[in-house]
Amino acid sequence: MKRLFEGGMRNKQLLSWVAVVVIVGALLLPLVISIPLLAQEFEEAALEQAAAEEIVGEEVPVQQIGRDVHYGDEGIVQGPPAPVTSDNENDYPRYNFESRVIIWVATQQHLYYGSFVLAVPIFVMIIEFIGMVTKDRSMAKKYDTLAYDFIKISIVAYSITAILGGVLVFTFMILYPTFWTYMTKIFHPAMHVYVLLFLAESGTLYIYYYGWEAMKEGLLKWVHLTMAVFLNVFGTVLMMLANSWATFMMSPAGVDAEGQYLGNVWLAVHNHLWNPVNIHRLLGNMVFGGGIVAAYAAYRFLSAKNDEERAHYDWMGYVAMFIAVAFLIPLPFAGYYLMREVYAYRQQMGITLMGGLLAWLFIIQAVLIGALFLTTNYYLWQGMERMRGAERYQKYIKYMTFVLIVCFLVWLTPHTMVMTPTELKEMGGQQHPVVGNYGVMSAKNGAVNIIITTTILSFLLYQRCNKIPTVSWARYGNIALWMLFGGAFVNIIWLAIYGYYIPANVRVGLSVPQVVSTLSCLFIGTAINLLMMRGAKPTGPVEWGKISVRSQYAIFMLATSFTWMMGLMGYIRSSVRLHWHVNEVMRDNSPWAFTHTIGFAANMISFNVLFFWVTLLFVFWLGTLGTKKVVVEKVRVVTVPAPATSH
Amino acid sequence: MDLLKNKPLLFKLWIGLLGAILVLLALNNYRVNFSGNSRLLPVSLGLFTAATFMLGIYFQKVRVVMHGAAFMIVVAAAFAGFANWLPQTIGEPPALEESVEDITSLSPQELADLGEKLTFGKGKCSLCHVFGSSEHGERAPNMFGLAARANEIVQLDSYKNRDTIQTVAYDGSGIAENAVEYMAESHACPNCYVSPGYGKRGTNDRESPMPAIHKPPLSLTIDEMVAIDTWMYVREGLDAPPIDDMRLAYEKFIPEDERPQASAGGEEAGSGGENPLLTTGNEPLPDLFEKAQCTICHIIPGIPGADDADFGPELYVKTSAPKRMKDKGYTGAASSVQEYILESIMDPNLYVVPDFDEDLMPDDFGTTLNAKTLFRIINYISQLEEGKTPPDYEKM
Repeated sequence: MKRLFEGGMRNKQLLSWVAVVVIVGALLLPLVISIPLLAQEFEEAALEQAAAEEIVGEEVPVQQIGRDVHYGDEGIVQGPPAPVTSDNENDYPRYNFESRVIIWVATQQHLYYGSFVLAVPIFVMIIEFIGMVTKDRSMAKKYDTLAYDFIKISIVAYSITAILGGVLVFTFMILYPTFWTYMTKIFHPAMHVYVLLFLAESGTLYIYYYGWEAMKEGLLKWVHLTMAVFLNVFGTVLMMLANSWATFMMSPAGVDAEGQYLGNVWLAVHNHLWNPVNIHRLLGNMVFGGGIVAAYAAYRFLSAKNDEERAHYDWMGYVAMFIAVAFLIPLPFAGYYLMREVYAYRQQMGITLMGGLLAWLFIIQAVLIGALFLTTNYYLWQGMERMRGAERYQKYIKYMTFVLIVCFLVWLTPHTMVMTPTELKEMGGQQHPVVGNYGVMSAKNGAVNIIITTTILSFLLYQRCNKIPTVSWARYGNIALWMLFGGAFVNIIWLAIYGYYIPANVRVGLSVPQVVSTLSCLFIGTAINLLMMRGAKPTGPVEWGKISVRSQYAIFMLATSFTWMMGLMGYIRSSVRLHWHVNEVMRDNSPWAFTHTIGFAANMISFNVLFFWVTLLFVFWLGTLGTKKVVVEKVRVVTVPAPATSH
Repeated sequence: MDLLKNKPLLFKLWIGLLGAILVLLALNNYRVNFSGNSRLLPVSLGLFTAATFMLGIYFQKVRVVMHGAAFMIVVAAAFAGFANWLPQTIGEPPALEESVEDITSLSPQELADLGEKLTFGKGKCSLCHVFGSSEHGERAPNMFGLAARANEIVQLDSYKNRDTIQTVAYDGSGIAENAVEYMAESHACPNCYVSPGYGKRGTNDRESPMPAIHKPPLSLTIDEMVAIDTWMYVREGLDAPPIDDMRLAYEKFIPEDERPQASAGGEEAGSGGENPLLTTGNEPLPDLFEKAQCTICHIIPGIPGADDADFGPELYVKTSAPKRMKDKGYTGAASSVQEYILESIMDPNLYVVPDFDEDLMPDDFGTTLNAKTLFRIINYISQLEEGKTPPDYEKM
């Protein structure tokens, strides 16, 4: 009997392993299809086939050969050249309004909702998994409920995404028919795959959501998690396909210089900027999704009727915020990779972005980043109120605030200003004699590194504020932390000052040791802190729900800023094509081929952000309608480790 | 009647109406200023904020939604307001290029239209200059009001007693005396007078970063420059000076042998029926590079007088060519340094070195340089290696 039982266990283990292998395999699928080698193999096969056809069939009509604009290889022409449009009713039918603005709104709204419904299942999957492997039953249940709460929000958003997708397609067909026809002639096979994947994703999502209760135990729970994996695989591939259309417009491939399709859709999909955008969008979606769920939690916190609800939604907001900020950290690196590939693709495009027409938009981005960091710190400090013992660290907050504000101001100082000739004369040049010194790269690099390092410090204080370390080496650990952060601050500031005295080409190299200081604080500092907190004596539980109302507005601020930043960066990515529908292949000859002023763009972005949030608040409100009777678990007095330290 | 007695309800009705009015005002502001003065659009956001916040105070059931929305509007308004405070520039698409026929047959408006196309197209003026009344030129002066301003500039002491690296267009040309001549002089000799604050970095406004636009690579003809000047007047509602006056102004600052022709070679090769080839191939190497126009844009290590141009990359080709041929952006078929140089001369856009403009290098050197010239250029350049002394040009 015992043996049989053990056998059963082994079978279960075996099945679990099979499930894990399937999950990992499925997760790797999008990676496999994005390998550049595959594209070449496809292409070689196509050429071989063409060659074979030429040898075998003598009666084959003469085929026109074109050279791929990106890959540089030859292929058989299978489509018409990119249409040369002109400003008329056939190419650009219109209402009495700028068609580009209509497309702008439709695309942005679809993207906002799309990003949200793609991101949420990813962290639902992670949280469900954490819940499954957590040994503490009450915590496991708590994670599971949280995962369910998350997916519930995305269900309504999912149908809105689909509706907006339809709106977008119709808008393209109505306002830009010639362009749309050209795109569909190239991408129609991928578009069919897209539709099928969408069906698969919808089906999986509904089974996943409605099957939550029925599949909550044993092996079925693993099956349930596997569905989450497939849901994400479908979603990610779906996103990658849509990305390929946008990146084809930026860096076309699979067509010749006249825009004639060369018969291999895979090459068109796998254009130069496809993968960099894929990575950037995936990470960006996570940040955005985290921000929205956090805002939802803040909304529920503020409208909560009792302490239990407040505790639950405070915790939910914290976890979502943590996810958002965790994915925010690698995002600049993905951005850097994307920008590097833009430069590699066309130098001119890179210059337009960083030093030309669109450069001021990156100043706005800098302001947004500064605001994000200030708000994150503020939220963490407010969060300390939940814990007894935090008083020990309160006294440092005023110094950190001072440092952050000074650095923020330096970070914001423009290099040159818009001035009248008289003002220019009075100031004695383009740069102010005093303030101008802070508008240069050396000062800004120093400032932003100090901002990030201070944020890391805030986070470490947050982690330890209700614990007293009991490890024997605690004193040395504290000394090490002091030295680590002190050293980093000194190094960053010293290099920032030193940068004024050396030529620009040498100065560029200084940012490396500065970033190393910052990253050392992040990784080494967090590691030392975590080790010190092992077996630490708690000074009291985390009293979820005991946090100020202001903190929830900080979450709103973060969510709005994420949304705004996404609108801004999306605008930059799209407008860098300038007067091309498809860069260097199909010219935009509509009356709207010009690039708007940044003020106009910012107004549009604000409009899109607010439109999105107004509709989303409506979705949130819908969400509360169905949950009136749900009993929220009592969590306020349960001692739970801060999720930040547990995953 | 009940409604009138129910004071709280009546009050809420008023508040609701006030909120609705604010929202309508905000929407109207959007409608009126959407395509016009877009800097006023954040006002709408302010009105929306006031309306939602007020409704949030008096309508308790939607309090959280309203306050959350009001807060978000404030944040979005702040970002939009900041962006509207920054310098505003519209990026116009380049015009489709057209060749100039006989410009005297064109009306002033047609000539101005042509000038506008050239400004944003072949002339590449908009790479550095801006043209809107409220725009700020980062790299070069704003061209708005130039026609009026030019008359004042030529009267300035700093203009008459100039201290620049080149004070006259050529010996005996003299300086400009009126606006028309000033424009011609600025185009033909950008170094003759540098607008304060727009000099090459580190030269204290003694040297201009602008190239002479009648020379390669831009090579605008006098008639094309006349068209551009005409646009400067017409777009501001001014009467353009007669074409002949403008032509004369350019002829004052551009010596006869430097005037580019509308079509290269052929029977129109104006000045004395010279050979359309730029070189004979027998010149000493420094002269050969200069005549072949390489030194206008490139630094050529080891060649005297070829050490300060920066429109094209420095020609350490033995070091750079192998790397470039492996670059993803390389679309040529060369397999050696020599082949690479030949290819770059004949078809410059097969690979554009990062940081340099596309289409800047003329693509007609294949027809203006003879075989001997090409051979000698390639022979010398292919031996240039970074960190090593260049070969002795006198022996080559």
